[in-house]
Amino acid sequence: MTECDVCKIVNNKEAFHVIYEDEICFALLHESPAVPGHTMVIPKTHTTIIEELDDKIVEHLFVVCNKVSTILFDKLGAHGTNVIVNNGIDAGQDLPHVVINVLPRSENDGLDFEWTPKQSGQQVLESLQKKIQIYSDPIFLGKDELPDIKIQKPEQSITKTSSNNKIEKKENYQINNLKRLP
Amino acid sequence: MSAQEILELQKKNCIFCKIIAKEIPSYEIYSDEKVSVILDINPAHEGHCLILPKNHYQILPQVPLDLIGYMFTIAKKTSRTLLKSLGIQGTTIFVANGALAGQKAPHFMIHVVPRQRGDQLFKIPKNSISAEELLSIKNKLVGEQIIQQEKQEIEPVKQEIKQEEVIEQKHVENKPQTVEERIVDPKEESKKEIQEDVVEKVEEELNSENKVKENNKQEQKKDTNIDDIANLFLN
Ligand SMILES: [Zn+2]
Ligand SMILES: [Zn+2]
Repeated sequence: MTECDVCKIVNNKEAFHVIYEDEICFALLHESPAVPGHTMVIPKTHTTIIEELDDKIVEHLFVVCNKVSTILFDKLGAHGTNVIVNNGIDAGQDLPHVVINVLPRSENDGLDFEWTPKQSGQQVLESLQKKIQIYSDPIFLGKDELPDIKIQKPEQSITKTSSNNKIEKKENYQINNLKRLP
Repeated sequence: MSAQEILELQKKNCIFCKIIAKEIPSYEIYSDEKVSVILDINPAHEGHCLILPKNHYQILPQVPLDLIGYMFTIAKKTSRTLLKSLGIQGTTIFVANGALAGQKAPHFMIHVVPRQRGDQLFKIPKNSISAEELLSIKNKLVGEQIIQQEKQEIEPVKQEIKQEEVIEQKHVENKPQTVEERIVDPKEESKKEIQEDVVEKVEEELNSENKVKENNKQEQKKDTNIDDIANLFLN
C-alpha cells in the first residue's frame, strides 16, 4: 500500500507552510488555495474519514480550527470564516485522509457555498425525523456497535495520476456492502 | 441602548433560541443540556441537520472552547447517523462564521448536510499561488514565538479548556476577550493596524451601529474585530 499523500506531508512538513503544530495535529496553508490564507487542519494519525476519529481528537481538531479561524480574523483581516469538512467521495473529498478546511472570507472573494433551500413539507420532515431517529439513539449514546460505516473512502493515494478505474472498483465494492445493511 | 441590551433583544427575537425553548416546534433529532440537533426545514438536501448550542452565541469565537469541541463531536455523530439512516455516501460538516461567510442567523450553528454525488455543493476551488505569496501569508499568520507558545499551550488539552472555563466565568459579558487571550499574539502593533482597517470597512456597513461600536471600543478595545463580525447581525 502506498503512503497517503497527506501522510507524506506529515513526514515532510519542512517543505510546506505549517502555521501550527502540536502532538495531535497540524495546520498548514493549502498549496492550491481557494483563497489566500486557506488553511488545512489535519490529524497526524492516518484516518480516512472523520467518523473514524475519537471524540477526544475531534474536540481537539476543532478547537484548533477555531484558533486558526481567529488568527485569520486577526492577522489577515478576514470578515468571516468557513469551516468545511467534506466526508466521502460523494461529498467531494479528494484526499484519503481527514482534512478540515478553514477559509478566510472577504467581500467578493469569488467563493460561493450557498445552497438553494428546498421546501420540505411537514410530512416529509416527520418521516425523515422518524427514519433518522432509529439510528441516532444508539449513536449518540455511544452504543453504536457497527464501526464500519459504508462510506466511499477515497482510495489510498488518490493523486492527480491515479486512475478512475481504481475508484470505480472501490465504489462497486462499497455499494455491495451498502446493500447488506438492514 | 447598550451593546448588552442589544444582545438581549437579539436573543429575545432569535428564532433558534425560541426553537430551543420549544416556543417554536421543530423536528428534533437529539438534545442534551448543551446542544440541540434539529432538521433544517429549508434544507440543502433532505436530512440536513443543524447543531445548535442551547446558549445564544453569535459567532464561533464567542463559543467557549469546550463547547466548540463538544459540538463537533455531536456533528460527527450526526454525520454518522445520516450516513446510516439515509444510506448516503457522503456528508459535509459546514460552518459559516459571519454574515460574509454565508451565516444567515445570529445564532451560531454547525450544519451537517447529506451529500449526493455531483450535487455541486461546497465545492472548494483550487487556485494557484506563488511561493512568495504563500510565504508572506505564513509570516503574517505566525511568528516564531507563536508556534513555540502554542506548542506548550496545546499539549494538555484538558487543562487548557479548564483554564478557559475559569476565564469565561471572570468575563461573563466579554466572552470574546477569552478568544483574544487564546490567540497567542505577542505582536500587538501589526494587529492593531489590521483591526483599525477592518473597523473602517465594517463601519461603512454599519452606520447605524456606531454607538454600539464606540462602547465596544472603549470596553474591549482588543476585540473590535471579532465583535464587529458578530455585530453585522445586529442590523
Ligand atoms: Zn494519511
Ligand atoms: Zn439564539
